[in-house]
Amino acid sequence: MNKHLPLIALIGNPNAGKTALFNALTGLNHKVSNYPGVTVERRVGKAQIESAMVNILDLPGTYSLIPESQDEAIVVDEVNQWTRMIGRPVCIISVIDSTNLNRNLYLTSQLLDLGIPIVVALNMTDLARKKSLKIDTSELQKKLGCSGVVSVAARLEEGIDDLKNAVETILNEKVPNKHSKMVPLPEPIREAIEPVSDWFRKQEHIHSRMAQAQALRAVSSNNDWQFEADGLSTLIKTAREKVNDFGFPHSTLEATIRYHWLDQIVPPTDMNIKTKTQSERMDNILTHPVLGPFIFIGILAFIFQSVFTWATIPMDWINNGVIIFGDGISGLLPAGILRDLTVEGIIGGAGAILVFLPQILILIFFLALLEDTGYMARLAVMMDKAMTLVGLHGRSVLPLMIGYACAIPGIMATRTINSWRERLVTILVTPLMSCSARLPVYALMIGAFVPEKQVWGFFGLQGLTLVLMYFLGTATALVLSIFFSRWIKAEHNRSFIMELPPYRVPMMKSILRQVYTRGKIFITDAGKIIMAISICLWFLASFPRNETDSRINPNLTYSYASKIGHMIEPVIQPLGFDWKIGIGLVTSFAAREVMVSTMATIYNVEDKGDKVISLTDALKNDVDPVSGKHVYTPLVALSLMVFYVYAAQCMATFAVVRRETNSWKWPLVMIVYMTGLAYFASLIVYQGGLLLGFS
Amino acid sequence: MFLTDLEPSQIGRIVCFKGSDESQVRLTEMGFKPEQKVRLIRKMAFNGPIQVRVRNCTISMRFEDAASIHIELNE
Repeated sequence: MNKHLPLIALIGNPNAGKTALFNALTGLNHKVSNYPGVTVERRVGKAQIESAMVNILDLPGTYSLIPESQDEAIVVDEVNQWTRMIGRPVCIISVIDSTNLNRNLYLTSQLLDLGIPIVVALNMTDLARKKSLKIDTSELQKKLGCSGVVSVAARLEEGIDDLKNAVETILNEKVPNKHSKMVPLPEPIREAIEPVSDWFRKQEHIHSRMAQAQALRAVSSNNDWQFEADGLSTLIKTAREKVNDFGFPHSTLEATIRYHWLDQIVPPTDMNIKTKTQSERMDNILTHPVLGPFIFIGILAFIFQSVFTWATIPMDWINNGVIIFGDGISGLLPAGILRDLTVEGIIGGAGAILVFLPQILILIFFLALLEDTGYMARLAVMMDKAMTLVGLHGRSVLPLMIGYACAIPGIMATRTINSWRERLVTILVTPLMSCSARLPVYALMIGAFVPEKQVWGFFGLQGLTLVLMYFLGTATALVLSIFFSRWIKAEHNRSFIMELPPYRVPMMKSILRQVYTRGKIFITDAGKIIMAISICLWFLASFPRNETDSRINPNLTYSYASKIGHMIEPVIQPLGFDWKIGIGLVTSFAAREVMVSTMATIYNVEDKGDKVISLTDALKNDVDPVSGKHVYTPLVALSLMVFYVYAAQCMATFAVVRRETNSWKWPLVMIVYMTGLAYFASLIVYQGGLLLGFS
Repeated sequence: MFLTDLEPSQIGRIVCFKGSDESQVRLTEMGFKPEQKVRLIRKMAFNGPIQVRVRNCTISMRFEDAASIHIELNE
């Protein structure tokens, strides 16, 4: 980011379409969806406005400048910097949902006090038009006294040029919101808060209008710890008492005053409160107390089934493609170390992972679909009571569901949870949700050892086994939440208020964008980490070379990898794992899916031929040279899958937990409890299975 | 009566908040202020969150949050 470029900030309520507008202005591809609180971090991108380049700042959504959760606090911290003239933008684009003008302008009225030029972007004008809501932009501009009002439809990329023109005028003329007036305060209220206003004006060196706005906010706020500076808290306390004497509860002061003003200039658009909306009628079925949960379970079952059934055809294509590609390369290169490395190490290792791309993309597609229709927001509400019972929060549902794709964005999404204890518990259990990196491990084991049978006519046994693995992780997450929430003594907020966005037909463009982004991350990871590990591993598995012994496979038997594997073997033997799996467990610490490429590399090295082998067949045919028994049995496969359900094997997750909780304590807790759980669960599965007579 | 006492489709007018609940600030910011009309859409089972229509949007809040809002029935 070039810090010398003029900064333009996007601010607005959750789900008003800030990120859609950000994407339209900058040409970037950040995630947009129909859920309040998708964006949880600040982002900067460049945009061209006429001849000038500018930086565009995208922020999380907030309803007001009194924050309730971490994502909102990010916005408020940023705005507070601006009042101290730090990183101040030349212009704010206040993003408004036009179908709900009055409520959205509440935040705008707070922003007007900053003295920074404001362009109001009336977003979703297409939806407002459909509802035949007409907004007179020049009239609104006059009444608000802001620098510009522009109609846009960010998702359709309509009105973007008009918006750029309005911003350009400000860049050239630097006109502040000259006609904007302070929201009128009743005289007794102004007097009551005056000592507080004076304190802000003198101590923080801010202009008097902003000082008064800060005072109004401080008196209305619940976050008293913000105002512990010398003398300030006493001033605030006195002011609150005076305000309460006028019959205003002090906590409703700012909102009451601002809405009084707003209702005069923009009367709430739809006063016909009796009209039932389309979304309400859909909710009658989708959030029905009995039908609702069944529909949800049905949706989940459908998703996991389709992950298995729909993906088989493209998976075969990729699998064959890898083999043909490996054979082709094998024919081109002369026999020797280079060919072995390329075919066995790189193509064998990375190819084994690539096969699972279709399954991951299908999963991401459905998760994005649920979010973009508006269903996820209903789910948060529908599940809130049940989630509270296990110590979580309605807002924990989305992070946990995202956890099925990847724990990292899931943990980031917890920023919208307004209660710290519930947020921390959600962070701790999110990695138990089976992420897409486990999918290759499950899929490999299931594909090799679970027969392709139909159960009850329409469920595939393989798909059901997969659902069982997902269920195991999810159920454990919920049970452990109970313990964590009893154990953790942290700040706790009982309230949960959430806006339900209207249902809408999902935008395929933005869903496919998300699928594409995830796919790209997966492939570049396969390209970087997995390839690097595959190469290292190939060396460890192939050296030191031993030419004298010509038994089964001299190189692998005497290799460094074998030595390391055999060192670990005693620890994991009770779980049914041999030394080859042991090496897979070690390499999995970089990322779970590396397990699959590790196995692929090892078996490719072991194989005497030059072709890339089928990993599934290699696993099925692997026989212990001493006992003559199969190394992999369905029981070993089950034990291994259970291990992967629980094991803490993702460095990136720990780094994010450390950042979000601001301490090393919680990532450590996570590593210890997950590793312990994985070991003992696998132990019980394997030893229990042996006792029951399985092998 | 309180917001939680409304039946689905009934419309109430907000009178004031009870006590000093921590959700008061956010609720007023979202438009729940005295004289404001609200329509109850539905209540969830087991005193789960309720859904209401206010100022042209649909808001969901926990039963306990709604129980702090004094209303009177809008005739």
